[in-house]
Amino acid sequence: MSLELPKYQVLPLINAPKIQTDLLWDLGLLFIGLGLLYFLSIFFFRNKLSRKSVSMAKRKKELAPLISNFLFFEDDSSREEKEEYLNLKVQVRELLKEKFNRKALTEILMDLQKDLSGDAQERIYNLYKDLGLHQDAFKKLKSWRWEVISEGILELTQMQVGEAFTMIRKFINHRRGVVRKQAQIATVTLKDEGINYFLDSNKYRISEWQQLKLLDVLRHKEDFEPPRFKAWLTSKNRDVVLFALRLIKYYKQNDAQASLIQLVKHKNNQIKSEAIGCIKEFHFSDAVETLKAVFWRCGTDVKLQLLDAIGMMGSKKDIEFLQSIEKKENNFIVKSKALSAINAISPESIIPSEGILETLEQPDEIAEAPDQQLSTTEDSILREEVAEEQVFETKLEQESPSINPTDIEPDPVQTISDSLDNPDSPDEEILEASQENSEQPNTQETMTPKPSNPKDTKEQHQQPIPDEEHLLDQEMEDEIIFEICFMEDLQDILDEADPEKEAAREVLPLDFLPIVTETDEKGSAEQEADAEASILKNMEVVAEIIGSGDVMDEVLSDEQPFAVREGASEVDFELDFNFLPFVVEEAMDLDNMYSEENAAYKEMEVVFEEITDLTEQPDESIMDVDWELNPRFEKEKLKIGDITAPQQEEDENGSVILEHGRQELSTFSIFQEFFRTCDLESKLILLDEIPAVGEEKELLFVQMLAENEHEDAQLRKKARKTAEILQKMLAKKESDATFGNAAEEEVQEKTLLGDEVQIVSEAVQSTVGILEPDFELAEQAEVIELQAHKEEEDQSDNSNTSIFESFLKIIDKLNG
Amino acid sequence: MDISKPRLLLAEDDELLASLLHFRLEKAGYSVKLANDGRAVKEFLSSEIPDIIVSDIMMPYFSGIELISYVRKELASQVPIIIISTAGNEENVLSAFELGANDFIAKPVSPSELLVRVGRELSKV
Repeated sequence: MSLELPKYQVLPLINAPKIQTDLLWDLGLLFIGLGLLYFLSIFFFRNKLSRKSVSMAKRKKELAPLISNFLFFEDDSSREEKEEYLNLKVQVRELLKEKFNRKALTEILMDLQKDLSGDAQERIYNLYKDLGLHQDAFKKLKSWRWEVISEGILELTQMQVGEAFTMIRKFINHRRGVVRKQAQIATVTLKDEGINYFLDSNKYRISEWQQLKLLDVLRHKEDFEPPRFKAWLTSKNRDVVLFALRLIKYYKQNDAQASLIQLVKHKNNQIKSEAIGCIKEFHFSDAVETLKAVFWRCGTDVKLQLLDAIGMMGSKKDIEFLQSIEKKENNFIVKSKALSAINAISPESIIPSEGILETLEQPDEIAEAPDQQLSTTEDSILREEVAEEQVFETKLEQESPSINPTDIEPDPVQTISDSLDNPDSPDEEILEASQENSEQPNTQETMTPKPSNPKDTKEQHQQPIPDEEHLLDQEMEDEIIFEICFMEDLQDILDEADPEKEAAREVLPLDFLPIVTETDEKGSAEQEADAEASILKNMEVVAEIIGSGDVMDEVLSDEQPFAVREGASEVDFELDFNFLPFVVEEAMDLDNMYSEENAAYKEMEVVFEEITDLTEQPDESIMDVDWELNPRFEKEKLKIGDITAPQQEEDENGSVILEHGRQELSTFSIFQEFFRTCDLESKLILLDEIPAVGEEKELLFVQMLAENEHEDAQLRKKARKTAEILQKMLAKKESDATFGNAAEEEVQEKTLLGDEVQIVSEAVQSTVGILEPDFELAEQAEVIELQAHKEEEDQSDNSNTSIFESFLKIIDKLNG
Repeated sequence: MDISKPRLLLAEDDELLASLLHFRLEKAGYSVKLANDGRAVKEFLSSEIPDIIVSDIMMPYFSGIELISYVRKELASQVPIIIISTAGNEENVLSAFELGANDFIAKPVSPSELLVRVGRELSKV
């Protein structure tokens, strides 16, 4: 039994179309045939052209000697040469019967006219006409093909066939640009009057290139008498007007003043620009008013040209207009051009100011002092510093808003000199201003001129007290650092100063300081010094911030009083104080000042008010908060009289001032400087380190950092943690110190009795301790008060007790 | 070649101009040898030094500058050389003078001027 397997049938899904192979073959053959025909035709025409070119070159080579003979035939030649010439002429006439030969001869002559000059070129032109070759060119002009016409025009132009002028000029307005341009050049070339015809009849635009070509043709025309081109300034063709303007300028035809001035008002910038160029060229000063009138409606390029023209032709009455441009114009190029135009009219009236470093005039003493041994380098550095200081002051002056020029405070140097000139001139307003200034929270404002207007002063009073962030003002920190450094240097210098050398009037190494000398002996010299010191008292100098309280303490507590150097002139002081970091407020009569009982207490009252206000905050350390946080104590005034001649009244103020300075210093954390310059990562690391070394000032700083919204969130978080840790550590340290404080003070006071500097220091320290919230120490304060009174009686002549006294008064008032 | 006539080498690649100048110089009494490129010039100079050379500055194979250098340095000859150059080719002209060219004439050439210059240079020798 057999099984039949199923049969599979393949069903084609796509049926292949039937291809007509015969048709394909036919098409293939057709395309191959067309291709061959194409290549054969190219081959044929190429060969034809090559053969023609070769035969032309060959014919030219044959005809060249003939041409040479014709060109260089001389009438005075020998008879043989003349016979040869006639034979050649006959031969050439025969050759010219063939078109090909005529073409070859034409090409030879056209080539030669390019390579030859002088009389040879003239001969070529004549030969061309003699052989009648120009007739072929005329025929070309009648051709219907534009390229043939162009070829004919070019040939006639090159061979200088003047007769062709009338035929060629018809093509000036040809619709084909190439023919038109060839015809324009031919018209101008062939006859002198061609330019007139062209400018009269041209309807089309004249390109820049075409204008250049035409100008070039005119330039090379011999004995060319240019027409008065002003005739075409009224043309309706804008390019004709433009070309006419250029020709006027080139041929210096200055008889079209009115038209040129009128064209300055043309709406087309090119024409306007060319007209201005012509006006400048011919120096038409009558046009200045028109130039000014059109100025604001012009573009930048034309404005620059106008300004150039005004600068060239203008008078001083035009300077005002130029200044108005300098103010109103937005484009800085035009502004600069206006300034240069002003300088062109009135030389050196505008002095360069951009990028110029501001410098102070070197004081005469520095320049002339024979004993000054500053090297050139040191001198230059000094000048730079002075210049920077001046720039800074100028900046501050500019920043102070409501100050008119009359309110500007005079230069410190000038003020001192004025005070020296008029030591008895009291100035109540200045005194008030200086007192008001003592309450200014910002150090910079100490340096800014104070308004003399009472209203302004009142406004200044009403200024809100800045928050703690002001304490971190970078410039203020720099000033504090500078103060510290300066006071250290000052102390070093004063320590090293030799009295004998002082007597010999030798200049101190730091000769910009007020030159003072120690006077142990009482005599006429001292009297003179006292007299000068009294003058010095009249000069109230405001210390921006007494950075180093300790250093200042030492300076002020020095037992040996300083006197003004004998023979020191006021110029010395001008010099000296110019470099000091003090700002001289105003000259005032010290006697008048101190004759008023309230005068000494004015600043004290201010301080007391602050303290009493703060006593209402029992949870905080009153003094710490008062001195450290209250920005009104950021800057205080230090009278120079405190330094030179300490007195009882001054001591009372001085103690406050010193304490202010000390407190100011105490608010400055060294970490602030690090935080100012380092990145976030470094700041975080520093915050880790602060608890290990930090004190109250660091705590304050960290707290401020934590509250500063401008800081990074991570940094603020870290600062909060650090503040907490630091606060705990400080509280612990404080509690440890409080218990041992009383006994320690007692021992110290007994030991240091007689040494006024340390007594004062300790007294201040103990007073501060009393003023702290721990009012349980009131008894201890009374003890100290008694001791202080005792010291006052014993050492009434000691100026340094002023610090102690001032605090005693504060304590008295606090205790009622 | 007529020995009595001054021998002149004319190096010019433009055949038409060369032919014309050749005709003019011959007519002026010079024995002119024409060279259409630098190789022909060098070949001629290897066999003979003319009384004067008039050369185009731009030539195939061997420029006028190289020709001056070849004559002055390799041949150590002080034969007068007049350079023909297109106007505005100042740099090459200066180079030619630095290398020892005696005179220069600009294109388009005036055959009359060329004759004057050639005569003047020959009179200096």
